[in-house]
Amino acid sequence: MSTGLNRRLLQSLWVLVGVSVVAFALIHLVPGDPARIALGPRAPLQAVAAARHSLGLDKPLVTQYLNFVTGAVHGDLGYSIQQRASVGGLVGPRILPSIFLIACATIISVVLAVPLGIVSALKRDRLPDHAIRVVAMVTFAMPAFWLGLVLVELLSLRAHLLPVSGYSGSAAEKAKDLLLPALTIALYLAPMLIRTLRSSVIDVLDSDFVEAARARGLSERRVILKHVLRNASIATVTVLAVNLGFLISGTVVIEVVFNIPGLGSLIVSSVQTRDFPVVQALTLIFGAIVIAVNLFADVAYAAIDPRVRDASAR
Amino acid sequence: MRKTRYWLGFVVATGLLGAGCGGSSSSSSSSTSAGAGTPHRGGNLIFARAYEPITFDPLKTQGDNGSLWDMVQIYDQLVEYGPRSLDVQPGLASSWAISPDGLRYTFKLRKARFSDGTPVTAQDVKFSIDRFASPKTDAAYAEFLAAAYKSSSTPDAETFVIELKRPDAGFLAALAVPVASITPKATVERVGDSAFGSHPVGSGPFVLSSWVRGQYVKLARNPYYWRQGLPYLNSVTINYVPNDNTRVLQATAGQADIAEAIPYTQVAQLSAQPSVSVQNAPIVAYDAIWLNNSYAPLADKNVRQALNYALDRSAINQSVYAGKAVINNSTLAKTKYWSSSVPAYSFNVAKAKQLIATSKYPHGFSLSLKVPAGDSVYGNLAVIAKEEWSQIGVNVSIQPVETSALFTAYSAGNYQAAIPQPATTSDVLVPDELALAWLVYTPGYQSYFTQYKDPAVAALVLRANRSTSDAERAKLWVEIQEKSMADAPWVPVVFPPALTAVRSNVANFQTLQSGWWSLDETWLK
Repeated sequence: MSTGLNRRLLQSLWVLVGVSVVAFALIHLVPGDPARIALGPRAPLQAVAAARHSLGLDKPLVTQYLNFVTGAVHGDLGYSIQQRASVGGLVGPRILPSIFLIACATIISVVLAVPLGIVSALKRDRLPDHAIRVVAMVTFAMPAFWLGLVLVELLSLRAHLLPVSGYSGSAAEKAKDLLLPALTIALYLAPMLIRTLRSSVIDVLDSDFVEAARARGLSERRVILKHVLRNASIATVTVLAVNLGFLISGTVVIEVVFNIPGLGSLIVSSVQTRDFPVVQALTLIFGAIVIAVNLFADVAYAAIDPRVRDASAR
Repeated sequence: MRKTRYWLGFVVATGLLGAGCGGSSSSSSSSTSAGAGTPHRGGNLIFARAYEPITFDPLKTQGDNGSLWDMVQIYDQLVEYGPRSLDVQPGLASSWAISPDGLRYTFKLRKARFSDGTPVTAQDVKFSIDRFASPKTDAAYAEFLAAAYKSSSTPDAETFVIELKRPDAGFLAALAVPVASITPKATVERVGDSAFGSHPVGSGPFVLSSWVRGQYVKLARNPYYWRQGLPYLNSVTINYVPNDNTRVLQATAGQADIAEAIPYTQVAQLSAQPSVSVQNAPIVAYDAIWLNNSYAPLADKNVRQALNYALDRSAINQSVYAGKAVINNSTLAKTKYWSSSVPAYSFNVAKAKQLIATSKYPHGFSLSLKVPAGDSVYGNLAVIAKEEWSQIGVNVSIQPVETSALFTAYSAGNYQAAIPQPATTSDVLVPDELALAWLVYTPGYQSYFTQYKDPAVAALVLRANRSTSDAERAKLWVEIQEKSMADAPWVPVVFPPALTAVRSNVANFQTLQSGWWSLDETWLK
């Protein structure tokens, strides 16, 4: 297992380097002069030139890139042009809200998807199955920002159950603030999990060892929970891991709509103001999170499925 | 001039003065702000803002309203703007006198304290104004607002004197902008600029109690505030809510008491809520389609006039601005001395066709129009212009450009027609600032990058700016408005208002014509 993990770690590192190059190139290739934006349209040309110099924008791109990477390796993510504060100081307090949001969304998705996926499989091609699949299709297909607004209208403005947006107060109040955005994300993520789980459960139900388990006289509940679900969950974990990448990009929209001070809303405002040190740093962080999640998924398969464990050890 | 996000500042609204000028075309609700009843002391006001501050140091902003309008609550200026007026009123200066030659301004200072309890001295005032007016501090502001400043002195503890190099009738109004706020000399020098920017000390109604970037600013009552018994509010929480829908929803649900920058498309729906009203306040903002007068077809005045006649401003006001704006009849914002007597260009296609026919381009020409990408108001405006101008043979191609690249292109003259930034506004409530940039050609501003040059208009502007007689100024500014409108240097469209959602529990909230608000007399029911 350790060899396999090392190999994956090495691959991840290369991916991260690739991400940093792309992030750097993108923000420097688009039009818009960060120095001019930072000083405002009234600033005289000399002041803009001086700012370009002090920001190092007049150096060759390769030098700028190397400076960025050297800084990042030493934990220095740079200095925000727009906010005039260290990028680390801006990004730090925003990590937790984003992680909290993604965690809530994942938990809600799993809580929704596991029972619904199993019911769908067990009642295959009957009314409950059709109902679950249709509803899931609809929530999956809706754009997240619109789905979010519909939920706000129903649960906040009409039912007064949850706040419309924001993120403040005690941990419990913050969790309450996050329920709606997390549910919005979950209504997109859960349908994928439901479909994967449904087809995996159906496959596993047809397999010999399930027949054998039943033949040994195990209760249906025990067969489903212990034998079927465990075997069906591998594909579901894969889908979940792959989609966590999309999920992180999905939080960008959701954080803006629900005014959550996370990494997503920060990257949106930073892109708009060409605050390239922040954009570079955040892209790198997002890349690192996606890579870490995928690594974690690999480890998780191994824990769930001994065959994967054995294969990666070879 | 300021754009909504990046310019120094400001938008002035002219409307209220317009009681007789037709400025109050549509106030969907000002009853809540009428201050009816006995003011109640206490409470925390929650304000949802579209912009966040970058700094609280008056001289280190980007001219962004996120910083400047929050700052107004913390600092005082020598003179300040008040509700329903285009004239300055006493601030830290209880009175002032201007010498007959217009060169010497003598201010009598009132007794006031900073929020740390130390008295505001003439030395603090001198320090702040010198810093504001010095080109070394921030040439951008000094050049616009304090170009005539020569020196200052403090003959005694209650007197502050400013000497100008030449008369500048716009100078007093410039002292009311947030950039000219009075700061404590000793504190600024001790802590340094950057620390002061996050731990400001002022003499205004509120003090900054906490600030989390990207989230909120919390203000608390300044116990030393010189206006007795004010502010009524204990505290103000200003949340940063950049998304339009989210701000509207927070106001609807009561999560915010006040929400600024309500999109035109949501005014009707929000006004229909029983506990919310949308205040439509006139401010000194200016929306136009700017024309590059050096692009050959646009160098011809007949063509520029034809473009003006071929645009249906009332239809645009209805469909793009939800009927909330005022038709634009000037080459400047609706500041003091603006006159309703100068007609706006009427919608007259026949006249436009006739003008095109007599121009050097009788068969029309092609025109690219750069607009801010993703801005629905200007996007829709451009579509209507394209449609209407096609009737006179002008073939418009609309080019959405990223906001951050757009102004750069505009100021480099790299455009034919453009709407370069959202709602350009004046920093001051007199026309001098905009006129000196837009109607007087200088290498720096090239008549605000249109290359418009009219020596007669420029001479009038300089005369008005240097005049020491208010009556003469009033007459000259109307003449300037008439003459420059006849030149049709660009296509004025509307004067956009400030739309602010105010819940019914808020009393006496007023948007000043400068665009900002003073919250010291606002209270919660």
